[in-house]
Amino acid sequence: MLSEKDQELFTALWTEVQPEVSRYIASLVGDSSAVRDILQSTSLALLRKFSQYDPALPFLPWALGVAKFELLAFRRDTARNRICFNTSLLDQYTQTWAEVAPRLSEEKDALRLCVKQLPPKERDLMRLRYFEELNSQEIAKRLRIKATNVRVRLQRIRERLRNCVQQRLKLEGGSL
Amino acid sequence: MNSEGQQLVQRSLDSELTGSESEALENWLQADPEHLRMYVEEHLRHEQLREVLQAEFMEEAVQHSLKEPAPQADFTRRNTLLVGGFALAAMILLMISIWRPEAATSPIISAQVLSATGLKGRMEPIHWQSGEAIQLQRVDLEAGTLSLALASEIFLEFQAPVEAEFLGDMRLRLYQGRVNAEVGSPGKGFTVVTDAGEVVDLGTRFGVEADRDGESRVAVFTGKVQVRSTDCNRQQKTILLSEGQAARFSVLAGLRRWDQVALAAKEAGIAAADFDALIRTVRDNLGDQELHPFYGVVQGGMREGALTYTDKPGPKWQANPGEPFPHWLEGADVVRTYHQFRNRRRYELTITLNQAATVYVIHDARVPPPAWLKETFSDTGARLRIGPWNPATANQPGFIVDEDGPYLPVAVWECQAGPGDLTLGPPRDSKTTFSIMMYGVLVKRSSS
Repeated sequence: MLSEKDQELFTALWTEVQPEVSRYIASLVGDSSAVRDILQSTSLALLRKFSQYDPALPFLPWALGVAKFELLAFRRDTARNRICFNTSLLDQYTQTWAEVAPRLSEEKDALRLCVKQLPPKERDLMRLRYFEELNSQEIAKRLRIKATNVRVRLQRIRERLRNCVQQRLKLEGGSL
Repeated sequence: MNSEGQQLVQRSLDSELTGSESEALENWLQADPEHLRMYVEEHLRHEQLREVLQAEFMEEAVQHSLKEPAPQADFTRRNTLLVGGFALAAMILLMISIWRPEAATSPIISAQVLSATGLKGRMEPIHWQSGEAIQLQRVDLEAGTLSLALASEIFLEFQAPVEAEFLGDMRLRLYQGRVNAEVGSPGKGFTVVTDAGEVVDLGTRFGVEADRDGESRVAVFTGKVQVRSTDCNRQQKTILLSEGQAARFSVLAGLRRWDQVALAAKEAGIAAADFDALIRTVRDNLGDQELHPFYGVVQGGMREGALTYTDKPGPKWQANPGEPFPHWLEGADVVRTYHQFRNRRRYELTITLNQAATVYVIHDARVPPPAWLKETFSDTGARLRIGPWNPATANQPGFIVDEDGPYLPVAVWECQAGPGDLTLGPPRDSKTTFSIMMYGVLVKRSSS
């Protein structure tokens, strides 16, 4: 049973890293309801194991390590996985995520501004892909164009957004 | 990043890798730590992009739903779409039968009748048939149930007595009564407006009730809705509700928890509460809280395949393979509980019964029953199973993995109770560290 002080510490740490852990899970599992379930089971597992956490170390890598085990349990249903890594590669992926995530977190505000500048056609395409959550085949059917064309256009928009973010961060003195 | 690697990474972002491409990507990632770092960066940025876009378009959908269409313009546009004498006749019939002074300014909506049972308009009977294409402005029913399919994958079920008016394709004004809505992706942003505020769909299934005295209530069965209520000081409060959550809201009292919702047995949707029913109230000791959970009461709803929880659409009560479903449980009133409460240590659920009844608690059979269950209830010896659960749970102890997912074994306990209060405790004793399922509750009229 955690002391009141530990419960407060856990709440503060978990609130801080939860978005990163959620993104990590979503990057490996395509189904949003599964992401929610895994995130919830990760949260409970972290709470149960919190007494093992060393406060001298950063919380995010530890939380990602716990999330990784919850993901491994989920991997029995490979059909819903975005990609099926072997265990060693998943370990490296998790470790790299913990290293890279804090550095890229500053990009989100710039990305918000860049998204607002998208021309209407590109905006519509992004809406179909990310809001209506259609795949390239479904988008192609809706727009009466080829699926390969959809994929190329999505890739170009993502590249343009990335360039826009880099420009903005450069102007603001941020680092990439 | 070389071209081949880049293509594989891009396809992985859209979850479109084939089996051989997955293998190729895995090899490429293992060939150089720098590849893996690039891959992680791409996925991190992609997830950030998904979040930013979802927030952006959700806000846009909400803003869009707030803009009421210019009635005259919409009317003109709709008029150009009217084809044939049938549509015109239906429109005239509708305008005569359910006309109100303000209806002349409302847009006319195209809909298809999915089902119409015992319809009685306030002024004269309505003779809509299943499958009929209609044009309408208002729904004003004294009796019956009407299910409509609108454009943009919006399906509405009106339960009489109900009075509502369409303010556009994406906006419904509910003056009083009950409506259940199921909204597909194209209909995101569909809004139900009541005296007490607005309920904005964010891709979901939900039910709204509105009273003439100014209180409205909303319950969410899948997905999410945004609820905006305005109090008497014109302060607007907005909350998000997701599956298993419900709220009541009014100008006078603001936003509060709606803890007991009468549900339809066959499909997810709210139903009329029967105040002479066996179960008078269901409430817990958690008070008004941010979570806004609700308990669903389904009168006579117990059968094989009945839903177990309000916050999980998957798990259902099932007989064990090769065994019949216990006939003595069929037709019992079901209290759909809130699964997220399974870990609450000081949880209490109080059921107030209008008359004497047999109360069944269906408890996780993998773990010892908590003390309160052993003291007040007796084990009937009957065993069921509950599922399917998320595949992620399959590796936990005691799950039985079937073709459609993992199942848990459950034991049926019973006691005689009522009339009056019966209080149940938490699903586990504090000494149990095992993560278990939330129990279910059934109530059946005593045979004596």
